[in-house]
Amino acid sequence: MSTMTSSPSIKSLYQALDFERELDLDDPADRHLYVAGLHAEDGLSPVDELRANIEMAARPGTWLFTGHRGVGKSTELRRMAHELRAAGGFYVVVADMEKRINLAEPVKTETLLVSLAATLADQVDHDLGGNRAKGHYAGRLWEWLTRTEINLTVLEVKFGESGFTAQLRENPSFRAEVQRALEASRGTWFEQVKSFIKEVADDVRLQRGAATQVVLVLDSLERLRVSGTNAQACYEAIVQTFDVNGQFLKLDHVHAVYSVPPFLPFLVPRIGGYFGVEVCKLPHVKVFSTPDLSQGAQDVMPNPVGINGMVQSASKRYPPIEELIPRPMLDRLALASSGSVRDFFRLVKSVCTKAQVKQPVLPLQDDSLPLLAEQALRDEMPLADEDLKRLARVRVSHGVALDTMDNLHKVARLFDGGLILSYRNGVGDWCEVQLLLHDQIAPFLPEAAAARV
Amino acid sequence: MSIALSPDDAWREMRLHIEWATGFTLCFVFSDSPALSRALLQRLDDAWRFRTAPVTVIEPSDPATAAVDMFEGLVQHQQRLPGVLVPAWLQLTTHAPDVAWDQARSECLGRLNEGRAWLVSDLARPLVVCLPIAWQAQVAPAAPDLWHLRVFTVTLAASEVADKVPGLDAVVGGPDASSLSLLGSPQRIVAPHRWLVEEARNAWASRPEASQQRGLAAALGDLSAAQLDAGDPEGACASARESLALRRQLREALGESPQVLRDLSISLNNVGAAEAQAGRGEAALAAYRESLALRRQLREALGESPQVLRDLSVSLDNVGAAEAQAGRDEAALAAYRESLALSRQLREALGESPQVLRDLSVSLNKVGAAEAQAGRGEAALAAYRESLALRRQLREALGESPQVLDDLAVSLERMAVADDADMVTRQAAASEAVAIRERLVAAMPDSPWHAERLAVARSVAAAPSGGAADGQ
Repeated sequence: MSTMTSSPSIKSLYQALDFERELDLDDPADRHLYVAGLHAEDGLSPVDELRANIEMAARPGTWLFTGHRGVGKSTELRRMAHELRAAGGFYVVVADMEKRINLAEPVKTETLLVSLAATLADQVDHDLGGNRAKGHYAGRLWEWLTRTEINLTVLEVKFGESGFTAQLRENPSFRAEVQRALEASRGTWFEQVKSFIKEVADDVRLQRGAATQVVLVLDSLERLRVSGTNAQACYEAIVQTFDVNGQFLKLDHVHAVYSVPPFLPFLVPRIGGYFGVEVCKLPHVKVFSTPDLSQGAQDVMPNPVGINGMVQSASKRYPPIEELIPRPMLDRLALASSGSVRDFFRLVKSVCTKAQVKQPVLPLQDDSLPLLAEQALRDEMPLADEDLKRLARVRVSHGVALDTMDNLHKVARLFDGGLILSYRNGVGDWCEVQLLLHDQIAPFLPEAAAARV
Repeated sequence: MSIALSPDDAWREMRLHIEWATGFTLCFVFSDSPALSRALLQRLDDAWRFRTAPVTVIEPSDPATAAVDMFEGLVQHQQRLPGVLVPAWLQLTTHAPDVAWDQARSECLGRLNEGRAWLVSDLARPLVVCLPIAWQAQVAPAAPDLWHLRVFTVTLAASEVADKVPGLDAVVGGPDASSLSLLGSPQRIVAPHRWLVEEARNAWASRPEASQQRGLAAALGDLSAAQLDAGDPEGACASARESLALRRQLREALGESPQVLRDLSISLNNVGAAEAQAGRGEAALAAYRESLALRRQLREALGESPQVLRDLSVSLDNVGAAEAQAGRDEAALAAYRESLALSRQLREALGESPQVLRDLSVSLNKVGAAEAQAGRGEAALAAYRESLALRRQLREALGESPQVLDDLAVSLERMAVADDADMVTRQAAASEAVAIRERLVAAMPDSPWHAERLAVARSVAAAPSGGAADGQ
């Protein structure tokens, strides 16, 4: 034990817990930070199932992937891409769609598809150096577009073909103009895009082998916004894109994995059936044991496997962590995070800054700083009575407490804020309210239980 | 509801999140008090001005273009010092809640939410977003992706309670108050307060109730403080006196409730500060004495709560300074000693927060100076030693901001001229003070105040027995 006079290790621990950067398992430095099986139940991970589906598919398919903020979707999608590449026979492109389209605007099929095609073109240009005979794919995409009957003359004058994908990526006005131009001739144009994608996939196979399958992973679409003044328009646009226009998302010649909003299965219950697969859902880390789902609200019981995984996610980033924060305190913080890796890191970082201010003996001797960190996280979740009542219903029912579709945005808001978390128990999903809110919700439980009866 | 903190307590933890940032880092500050958020901003600006460069303050002035102005400000900030982790401060609290400004806040958050990837990969430096307290529950729904990026949130204590905390009085009106003006012209600091006063005046006109009158009086008090910061003591006097008149009317109308009496004592202190800066010492002393009498009355009525003791300590310091200014040294010493006793009592009650420690160190220096003036060198030296130890402790806790270093230099200069200290101690203290002042001047070469302080420190170092240190 030593008295802390300076704190390079506390600072190093803090800086090691960067929760904004997803892990890229193609990078050896990131590979040893990855905790295997963090989201698995009985050794079965939803992402492994998705990968197996892609590997075994007789023909390119359309796959839907979802999960709430902070569960680690981006890392898991990159891990799947890494494993497909490692298995051989797959050319995988992972695109962060947040950098391609404005997720706050109502999504449009046209914009989504043209951005998807542009993403593929850019990556293939980068990896394969374009097609020697026909030039760069980004330029060829522009050619495909202007060859149609779509009036893109104005855009051509403005930007030409050289910066098309860059403009599409970075210039919202340009994107809007493309959108307007494409809306007028949907049927024709969709076929053109599919043909373009086929041509690119054929070229990939020419270079990488005839059996090579192209997989396009479109990350971040789950962040499509459904709040604010245009929430209803956003909902309708999502339904239009993934349901009414769902046929256009099937690309025929490449596997397409869409990371979709977690509420999509509620908006479009038949969505899985439409695409021929169940939506792959990445749950939160299961730090609670599965309760008896028929017995209403219960005290949560720690699940050692999930908690151990959470602690590992920090200790792999900073191995001497337990010299600063003893294991029981880390377990406590993992439980308090309720299975959100991001909140777990946030709690540990909060303990770090509090330790630096208070200069206690290290490793920490009591729970006073974890308690303060938990209090700070709890304070960041101010709730109205209506929310507390809804959360009480979640605790009682272990479901999402969605009474009518009109209230979907209210439920989505609680999920988005990390107040409701979802878990998997092998036979289905169940939900629980953030542990730090349980005391606050307790007065509303009798009413919620009575309503359930 | 979250616990509200003082700017100093908030700063102790927030600075670590920002200092330790390796890229984009997001802090949220919730406050309804321009003075408090400005005090926290001052800490941040002090720290970074000294370290690398002043923070960029983005304060949209037109709700119609707020979101665009905000993003342009962030882009300019990114380009200003490429590769340097200088924080940006987005001030969205200045304007009172109304439909247009709430819409503007919502749009700003929406744009930041959309720009999450840009913030993380391109801006890649700390950002502090300052919002009204009512927005605590609204950020997550309005900007869910942004909300998930936060590392720290804090709510600052309400203005009418904390504006009169001694430590904060000293910081806001202290020697470094000028540095904040570098973030914008004095008009930029005063203008929002004028606007708030007009809003409060209109509200009182349309609804002539006590609560509206009290709101106007508080807004006038804040305006007075801003005018003092901007070097306009006559304007500050006028605002403070109008506030005082309103609060005297309220005493007539409502009777002598603790709240009414405390409000009145605050207005009297504002009048005293403005009169003192305007050079009218006797008028200042009269106002401070009346305030002190009210605060003694409040101690009788309410008992010795920390708030009551703080208030009393502030009034005693004010009276002591005014008595000293008038040449009544024994009266000044008596006031300072009583204030010091209260500061010690507060440390017992509240623990060693930076605010409490700084207050105590200020009281010790005041007592030390008064003891020295009375020819009691040993008592003066003991007080200076204790103050110096506290200020070293504060440097450890708060980091090396200009305010902290200036305080430390002041204490060292006191040691350097303490008659009862040995020559080695005095010379070492004088040298250390010069070194600190040189660093401050290097960091702020355009500050005449720091240049002047360096010249004084050098003269003390040249002849430590004969110099005359001043300051708190």
